[in-house]
Amino acid sequence: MPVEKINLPGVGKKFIVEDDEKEVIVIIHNTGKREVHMKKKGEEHSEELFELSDTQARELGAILEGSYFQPIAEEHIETKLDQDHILEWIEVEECSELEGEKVGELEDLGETEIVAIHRGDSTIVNLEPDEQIEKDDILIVLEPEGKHSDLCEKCQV
Amino acid sequence: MPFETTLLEIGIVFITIAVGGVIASKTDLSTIPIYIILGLFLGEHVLGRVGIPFSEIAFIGEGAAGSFIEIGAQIGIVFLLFFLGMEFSLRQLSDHKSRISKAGTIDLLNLVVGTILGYIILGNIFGAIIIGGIVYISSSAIITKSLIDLGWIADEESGPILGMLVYEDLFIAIYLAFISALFLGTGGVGGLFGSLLISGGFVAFLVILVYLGTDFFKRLVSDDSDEFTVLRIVGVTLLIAGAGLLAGVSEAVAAFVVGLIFSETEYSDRIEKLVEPIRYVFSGLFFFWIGWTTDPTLFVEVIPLLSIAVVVTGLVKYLTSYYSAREFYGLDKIKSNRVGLGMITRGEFSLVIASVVMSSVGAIKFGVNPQMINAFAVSYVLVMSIIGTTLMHYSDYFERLTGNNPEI
Repeated sequence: MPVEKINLPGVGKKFIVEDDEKEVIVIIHNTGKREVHMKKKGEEHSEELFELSDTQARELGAILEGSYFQPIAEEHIETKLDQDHILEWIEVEECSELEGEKVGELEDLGETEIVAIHRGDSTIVNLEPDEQIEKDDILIVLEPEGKHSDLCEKCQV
Repeated sequence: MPFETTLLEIGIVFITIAVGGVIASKTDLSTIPIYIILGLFLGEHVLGRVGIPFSEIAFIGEGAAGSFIEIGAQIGIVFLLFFLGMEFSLRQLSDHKSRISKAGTIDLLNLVVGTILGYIILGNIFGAIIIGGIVYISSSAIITKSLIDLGWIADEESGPILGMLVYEDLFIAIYLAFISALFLGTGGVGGLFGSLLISGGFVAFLVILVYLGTDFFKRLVSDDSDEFTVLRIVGVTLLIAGAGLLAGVSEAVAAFVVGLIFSETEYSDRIEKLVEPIRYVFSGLFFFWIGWTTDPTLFVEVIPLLSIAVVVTGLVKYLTSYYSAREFYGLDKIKSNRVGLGMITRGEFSLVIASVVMSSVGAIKFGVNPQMINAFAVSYVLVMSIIGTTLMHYSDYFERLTGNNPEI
């Protein structure tokens, strides 16, 4: 999704996220204050929705991003970590080829790395190579942006 | 007035400025015209002349408090320009280089028109150049605040407005260097070359300081203690500004360069936070002073120039800004109308130009009357700041005039 970034000399920075119906405009002031405006397509001027302090904005950002609740079962999820990396959630249930494989024996991972497995109510980190992938697991995978590994190709992520 | 009342007088000055701030926030007006008007009332020309009871205490005369206001105002100019340098970034200018420089160049037409206007009325080329500068420069402070208050900042019209303001701010630094060399120097057209040489040399010295001294400036502000850091910044800034004044480049230009140097260190955010309260105090004092020192009876004399300047420069500013928004930024009529209205407000830098002329001996030699220039600048800024912000508030009416179809 393209995000337009514009410098506002003496004020701060402006970010515009747009879809077919609207533009959401976020202004980050040098003081830390955030303003969120929305402009519906076809309308001339935007409308201010709300203002947040720096702390409130971080908190809201974390909520929107899904830090507290990820509706994982609903659909495919990925999070952009930085320019070059994304985190993906892969459900083994929808990619049965993975079931029963050991983490260390998966081939052609390339630069992709399985960083954790979400199983039941817990998350396994620091994976051992002989950790076996189970049917209801959700794999949390780190991969380079734009370079889909075979693992993800297979699972049509 | 006896010595013991000096502190009381200074207290009255600051409480008046503070009350001005309250009035501004309650009435949605900008602070600058209000501070000026309050200064005007407390000065010798208004309160100093009426014989109402207690006015003797409230009237701030030429005594110790008066000297304090004058020096405080000078410090105010230093920090206004320091912040202009701090916030000025060549990177931002180069972001949309071609658009900003085209729009900014068209904008210079206002300087030309102002100079011609000044020449026709004053018949003096030096006074005309000053009038040109005063009517050219829009107010970054008031306009930026209005953009945020009205929510225009989120829309496309903020692009050309902020872009042109950046261009004007750079241009005004060069312009100030020029007129200070002209007026602060030894005087006389023959001396102009010499003073340009001296001030050019001083600026070159500062630029060399930027290259060789960045490490020094960095160390200066990298201390953990806020106390030590803020003292060093204030010390270095005032010292160099003072040296600048002595060298004939004016404190304003020197402070601008110091601000530029500090903005190159990675601590610019911290410096801004530390110095901002100081700027509020002294720039408030500066606007108060400019009113305080103005003789309102001179307003009568400048009425012809003022009324013509308000109409002509208001209109030319609107048209050049409208044209640039349409032509270089591709905005529709409604948005370009907002850009045009948005640029009309004049403010702090018109006053800084007038104060540079006021503090110079050279001006009179060129046949320029500093008191008259000051009265013009003050009345012009009062009118233009109020008209400009009002027009922005009622931009809807103009939008109907320019037609409802934004596609045209």
